[in-house]
Amino acid sequence: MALIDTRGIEMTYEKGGAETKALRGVTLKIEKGEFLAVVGPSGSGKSTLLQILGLLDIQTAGAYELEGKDTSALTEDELAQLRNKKFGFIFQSFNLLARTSVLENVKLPLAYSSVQSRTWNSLATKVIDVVGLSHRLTHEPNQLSGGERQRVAIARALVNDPEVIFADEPTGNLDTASGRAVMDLLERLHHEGHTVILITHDRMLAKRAHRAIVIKDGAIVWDGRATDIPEY
Amino acid sequence: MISLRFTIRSAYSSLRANRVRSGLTILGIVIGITAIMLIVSIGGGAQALILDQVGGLGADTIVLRPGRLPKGPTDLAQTLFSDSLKVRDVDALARKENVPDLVSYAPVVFLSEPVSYGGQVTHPSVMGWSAQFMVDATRATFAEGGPFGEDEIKSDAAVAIIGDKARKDLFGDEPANNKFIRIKGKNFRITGVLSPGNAGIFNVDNMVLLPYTTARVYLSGKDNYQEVMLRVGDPANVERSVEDIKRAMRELHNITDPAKDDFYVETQQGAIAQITTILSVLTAFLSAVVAISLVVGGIGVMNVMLVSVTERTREIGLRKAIGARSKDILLQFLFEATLLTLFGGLIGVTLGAMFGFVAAKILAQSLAVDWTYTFPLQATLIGLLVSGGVGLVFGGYPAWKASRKSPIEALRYE
Repeated sequence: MALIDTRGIEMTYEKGGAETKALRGVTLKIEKGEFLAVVGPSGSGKSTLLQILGLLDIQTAGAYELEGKDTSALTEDELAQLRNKKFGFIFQSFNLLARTSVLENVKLPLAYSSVQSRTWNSLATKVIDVVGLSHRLTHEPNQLSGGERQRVAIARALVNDPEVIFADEPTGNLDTASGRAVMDLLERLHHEGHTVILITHDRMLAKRAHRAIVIKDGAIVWDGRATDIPEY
Repeated sequence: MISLRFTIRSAYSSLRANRVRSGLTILGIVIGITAIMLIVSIGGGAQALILDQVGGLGADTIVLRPGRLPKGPTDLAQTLFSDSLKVRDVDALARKENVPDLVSYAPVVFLSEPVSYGGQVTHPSVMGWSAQFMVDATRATFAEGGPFGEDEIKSDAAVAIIGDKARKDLFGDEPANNKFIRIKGKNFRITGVLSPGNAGIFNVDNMVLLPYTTARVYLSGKDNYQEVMLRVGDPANVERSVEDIKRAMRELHNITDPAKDDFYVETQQGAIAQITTILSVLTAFLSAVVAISLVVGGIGVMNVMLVSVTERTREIGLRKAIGARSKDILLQFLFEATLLTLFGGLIGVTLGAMFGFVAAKILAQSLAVDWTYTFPLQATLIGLLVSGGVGLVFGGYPAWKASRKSPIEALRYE
């Protein structure tokens, strides 16, 4: 049984009376422990696919099974619970809470989980150590560099020990060195057993994954080894 | 379920992050609650003062007057000139079989006579009463001498107590005790001079008090009194004794139809109840006016919370993405609004209590009365509850709006 199994997923938006199809029948299986890169040009539907796979949005047609369970009938609260338990999100713009310390930012997902509050600090400091920011615990986001902020976001994504880590253009706002450090971290997480789904428009970056899919106009046009990604 | 401690802490830190804005937002609540505390505190002080002074006569005191309870100008004139409260009525009421609970009584005679000493003449309020009743009712103190007693009343003694103004008019700076003043050609020995100033709400400075017996026999020369005060020992006896007095008076005056009573009875309890009602209505009215400022303050809170929800759209999206449910977001913003207004309420209560204390001091000094400050505990609790409630009510809509945001749209928000 695949970890993620989608069949014919479609996503249609309605704007000003006109319909826009962001996804057109996406069928995809992702196994546990995979490092998958989703690539494609801007506006191809990569982010929409991540939102659906990450249960942030519901497809307008097609089926999505997570660990063999249909997700279409889940309530909003159940979806929130699944996101909290199973997924970790890393966004291009970090999305850290301003005027809130690194430690508090990383603890945030634990607040919405069933984890006992007395363990929050130790869990958070552990993952902050993993991303190499133990010396920055009490710092606030505006006191950190871009690379450090993204590492805080990675620590936040890790704190609930999720099954899948979704990274949406995680190096988009970083310089080359910081971007490389973030990719090193994602690779390490993959080696430690996490399933990593990386969304990027950068072919070179995608090649560091094991498998890649190319999306164009809302449909998968290529699926294979990341090192063999064709031009798109 | 998200922990309460976490929700309160997040609410607190986001309010702290915008200190100036939070402070300005709660200004309306602070002013409203301060004003309510002040009104209740001053109202309570006024009530305590008036009740203390009205109640000075004793809650067991019944006042019997001739005529009818004045309900209009005609009644008032009739009451003022009525002579239906006779000496024999008072004598009859004094008998045990008529009013069994009677402990003491003191008729009152009002006179308008000039008072002289040597060549000096003054026009004070001359009153025949019991010195003990006067002292009990007004809490007056003596600068010289003391009150005349029951013996002087019984023996129609020619004695008097004078107020400070009357003393100055007649004696200048000289001591007045044991000197003789002249009223309607008769000499009265002064047994006491009252201390200057108001005694309670009564101005005793311009008063000359004589035994009611002496005043009636030698000065008014009539067989009636203007009123009589009767004490029945215990407030619980008042109701029964009022009936006893009415029955006895009707028998004495051959009245069969109560509508034709030529007397009326007032009790301190009645007066106290009336004053309490008037002051409570007044306090409630003023509080209602002030409550409008709380509504205005609440609208301010709502406005700022709506701005805050918009500003923090991405934060809401992130929280939802990492597992916050709609009700977690709702609770968070609701807590923020409530914490904000509750804090405003707390400041308001503190300021209100402080201003109330200062106001009590100023009133006590400027009115020269014994104005006591009591901390309005009930108003404090209501103030805190109301301020918290304002947060809940006016924070409700922004919090609901925040909770309805979809994580995707919220994350996309720029």
